Amino acid sequence: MPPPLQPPSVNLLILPVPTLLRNLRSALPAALVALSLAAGAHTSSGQSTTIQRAHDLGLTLTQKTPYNFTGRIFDFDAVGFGSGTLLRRHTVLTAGHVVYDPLLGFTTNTTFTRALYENYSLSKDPVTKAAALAGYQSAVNLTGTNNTNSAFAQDQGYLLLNDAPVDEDWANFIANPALLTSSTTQFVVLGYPGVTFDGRTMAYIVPQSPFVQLSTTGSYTNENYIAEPGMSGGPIYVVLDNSPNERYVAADTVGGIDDSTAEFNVSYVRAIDKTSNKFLVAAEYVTPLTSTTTFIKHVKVSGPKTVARGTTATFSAVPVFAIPGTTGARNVTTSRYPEIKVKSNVIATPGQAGITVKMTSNTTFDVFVPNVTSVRPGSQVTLQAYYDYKSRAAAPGKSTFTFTIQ
Amino acid sequence: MASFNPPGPLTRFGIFVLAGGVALVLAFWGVLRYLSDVRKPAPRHDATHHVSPAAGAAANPAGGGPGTAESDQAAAMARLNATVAQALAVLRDPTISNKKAALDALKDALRSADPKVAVAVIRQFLDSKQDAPTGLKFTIGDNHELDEAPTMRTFMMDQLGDISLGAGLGDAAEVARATLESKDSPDEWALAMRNLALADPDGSRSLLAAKARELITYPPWQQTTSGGYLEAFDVAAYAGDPNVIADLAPLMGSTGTLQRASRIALQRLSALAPEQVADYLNAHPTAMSDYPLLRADYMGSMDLSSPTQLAQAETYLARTDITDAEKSKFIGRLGLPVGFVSNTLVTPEDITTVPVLEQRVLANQTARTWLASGKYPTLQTALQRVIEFTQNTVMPTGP
Repeated sequence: MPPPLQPPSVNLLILPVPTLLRNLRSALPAALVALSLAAGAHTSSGQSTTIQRAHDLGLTLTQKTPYNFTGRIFDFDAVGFGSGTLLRRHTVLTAGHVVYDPLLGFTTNTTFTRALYENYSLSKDPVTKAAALAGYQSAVNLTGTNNTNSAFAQDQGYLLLNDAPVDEDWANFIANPALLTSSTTQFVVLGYPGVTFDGRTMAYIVPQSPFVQLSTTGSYTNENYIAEPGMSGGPIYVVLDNSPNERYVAADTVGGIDDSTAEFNVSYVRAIDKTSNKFLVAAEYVTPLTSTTTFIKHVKVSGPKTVARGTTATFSAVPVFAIPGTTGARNVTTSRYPEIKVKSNVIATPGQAGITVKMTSNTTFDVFVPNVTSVRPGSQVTLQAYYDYKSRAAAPGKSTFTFTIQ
Repeated sequence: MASFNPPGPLTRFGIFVLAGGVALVLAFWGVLRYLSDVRKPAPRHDATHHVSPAAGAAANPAGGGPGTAESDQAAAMARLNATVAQALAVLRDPTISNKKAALDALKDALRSADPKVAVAVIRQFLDSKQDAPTGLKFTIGDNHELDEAPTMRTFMMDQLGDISLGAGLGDAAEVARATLESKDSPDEWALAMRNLALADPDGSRSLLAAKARELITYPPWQQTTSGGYLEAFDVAAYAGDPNVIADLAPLMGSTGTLQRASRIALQRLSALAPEQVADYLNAHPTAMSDYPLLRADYMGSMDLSSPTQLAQAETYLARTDITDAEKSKFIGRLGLPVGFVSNTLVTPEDITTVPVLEQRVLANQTARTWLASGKYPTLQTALQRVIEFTQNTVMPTGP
């Protein structure tokens, strides 16, 4: 058996529920909310078990991998929130009903705040695209309900962020719904509960029993824990036998049911499957985030004005862009541009000493000036820097930087 | 309507005896029809029915003995007809639960045969009006093809579309037009419309627009809402006729399946034909007035680089019957692609793949212009927000 999630100290304090949070549109449908605080219940199989509910994850774990890839999705227009997880450099997996409401339409003013814990977070990004995985056919029971109009065929959606919140890192995921029903799988449910917590605290639940498949199209239920409003879209992590130290997102929370007896609660999740993989995880690869026109004005190079023979000097190359028609330019200060290239007008060739240029990071490069007679002191070297993104139809502006050999 | 013929209390042995008989009859019929076709001096459609000797050789690579090319063709058709009959028998056998295996085997046989032979066999089957339920749903997979077909006929129509189109034959379109002449089955209509759209994307659009409206408003099909019926709403989006809004808007107030399908169709329609949709919504103030924020979503699909659409946006913002809340939602949508993604019958699966960055820059510039003009004093907050949003997110990023 894989080791369990290292649980933080359990916080049994049940916080009062702000009135606003009861009306969150992007939380679980109100009629389906699992509000029970009952400590004991029986599963449908008759086994006595303890209903699990959300516990405070704590700031330290919230900021650790893999929990730091989960965040809160806040809609400023609807004043509601849900949860989501970064599954690709720019793509956040969430629930469809966090993205779309039957009356309000698509969310238009939304942010993803990663690893939010009270007043702390690791990044906050505006959402630049929203999509719900939804086809034409009726499949209303796939969120675990059979009569709600807000249910989706598959209650999943994704948000695209323009900036990558984490360089070259995101949560592991696995498209294997069978893991949800396996008795040997360990689960960890994450999200931002808005009933027993204030919606700004990452919380976790550790279900003690596997999920039960509702249909063949991706919905699973679990009577062993209580999902709350605000947790919608949050991940269900699983631990694999052959990789006990890794957590993989296998599903997202989509709903829950309270039967009003306060003793029998059901939570619903939607598995990541091949359809999710096709549309959600691949989203950022089919969406042209880049422009076909020139927005990068140039790549700004800075570094020493003189370089001695026999030494290596370090330079930086940072793209500068601006919106056409507006004044001012904005430096890109992150290192997310592997497409930057720098060339020297004195190129080293095989068998002949010359100046070499070597990118040492996405935005820095080293220039080596050999101590040979062919590289004469006092001569000038021009570096040409440019942004070389493969799908750009128009070449962006090139810039030059000149230094003198000492 | 093609009726199902569920088997009576036949034994498995009886079923297979019957299947063998059906196979023989179909094979004999196929041979006769083939021979009849090839003897016609100038058959009207039979570029698609005629099976060339070369094709016959491909269909029967083993050669089949010392027979002629014609006999090879006849043998190939007979074998394929027998496979069709076997699959039909399996579907009608209540003791066999795994129907999909028989369909998979038939699919393999059809795909591995010469396309002209396969198409001829499929058409024979469809002409025979035979059918049987598969116990499966109407499920669309990749490339607009069915993952699951609810009946033998829908399975064959799906195969016809793929094989006929792949081979550049006209059979799929021909059968589609014939299918759409009578309202026998919404699922078959769905596939007919798909096949027609893919076979004749330019020439079929107006016909498909009309047929989509017929389908959507046909009361018996609205009552049953079969899988194919709902998926066929996609044709309304594909056809790009905004008049379908008059048919879809009333369904938005319904419950469940029709509500969802109509909203998805309208979202896709607005993404594919933003100018037509905006024109319609401006010209019909009451259209979608019960769903103002959804209307804002649909209007927000505009391409602001189009002078016509920019003018439509300004007309919309100048309307006094529209609330500031709706207009603010519309402004918030500019430069922000949204949409539904799924496997679809005909439209692109991910309808949101617009050039994001250009739209964001255009939204920024347009919002600045509108703000500076002072024409929309009550929308200043929304305009300033979109300016800030687009300015902060205009940075290009790699994949």
